[in-house]
Amino acid sequence: MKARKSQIKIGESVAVLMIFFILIIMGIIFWSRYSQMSATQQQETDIISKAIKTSQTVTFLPELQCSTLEVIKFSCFDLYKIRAMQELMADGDEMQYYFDSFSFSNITVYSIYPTTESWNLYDFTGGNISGYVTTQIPVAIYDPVTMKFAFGYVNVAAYVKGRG
Amino acid sequence: MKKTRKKSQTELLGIAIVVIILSIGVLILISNVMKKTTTTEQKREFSEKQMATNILGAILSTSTNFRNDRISTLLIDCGNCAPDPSMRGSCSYYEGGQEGDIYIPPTDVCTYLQTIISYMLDNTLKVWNKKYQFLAYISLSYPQINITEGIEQCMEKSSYVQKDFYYLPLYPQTLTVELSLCS
Repeated sequence: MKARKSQIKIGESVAVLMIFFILIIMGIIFWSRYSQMSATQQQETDIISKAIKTSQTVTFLPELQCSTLEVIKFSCFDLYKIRAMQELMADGDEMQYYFDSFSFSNITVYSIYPTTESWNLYDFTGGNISGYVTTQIPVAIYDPVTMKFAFGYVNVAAYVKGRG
Repeated sequence: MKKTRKKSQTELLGIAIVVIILSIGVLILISNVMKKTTTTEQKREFSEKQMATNILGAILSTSTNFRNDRISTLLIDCGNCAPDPSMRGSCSYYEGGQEGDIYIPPTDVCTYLQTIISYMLDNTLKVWNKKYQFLAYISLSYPQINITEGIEQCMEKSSYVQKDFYYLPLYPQTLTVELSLCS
């Protein structure tokens, strides 16, 4: 009689332990899936942050900003500075100088009105890329010779590095 | 009797511990999800707010072929016109011509601006899948310029709309230039 009672007790303990381990396994599976998902989300957020940071750097770059009598005009690029920078960047050595600021990205200035035109200022893939995230910042493009402002934007594509 | 009571008390304590551990787990999970959503939202809001400010600034400083004036000057001119297009006889008049890539027929200053600004926004915000509304008005009920692209969908969720304003002097009133933006 006593032996049967203790057998029932052992069965009870085994059942409790099984449920406990099932719960732990479910928890681990759920947590690992969540971690995997949040790692992907974190990567996306980091790339977006990188694109925003690069576009901010470009907008406030003295090499491009309009200035009259040392007064800087906000969200405005000088047309001649854009052209000069494009020429400069054609030589790969200068691109290395800006790598710390722009990292793996593509920076292109587009003019929309009155004429459609574009200038590629920086493009550094550094090998394999698996995609890119773009941010655009509208700017005025000033021609100091004609003293006219055009309407355009800077397109910053932050590259996502591929594996291998 | 005493032994049974003590046993059930121990079991209750066990259940309480399990419930507490589960609650802590759920709380950690919820706080993590909330934190991530807030960061992404803040980044999106910052980026759209900045875009609204930059695009308004860039549009207002753009030069045109209309007397070689900038858009901000033409907007002041337009502010002196009636909001109703049929009553703009005394407004500044554009003779018509090629404006870079677009041809604009002879028209009043407000319609001229409506065409130019629409062209700019169509080639930027619309291409980037943003919904927007550009308004220039003295009285919001009768705007001089109203360019809208799908903003109605965003107005239902007003918290997602980013706005920026510029004020142009128009003696004795003020012309408000407003850009609302959302994804």
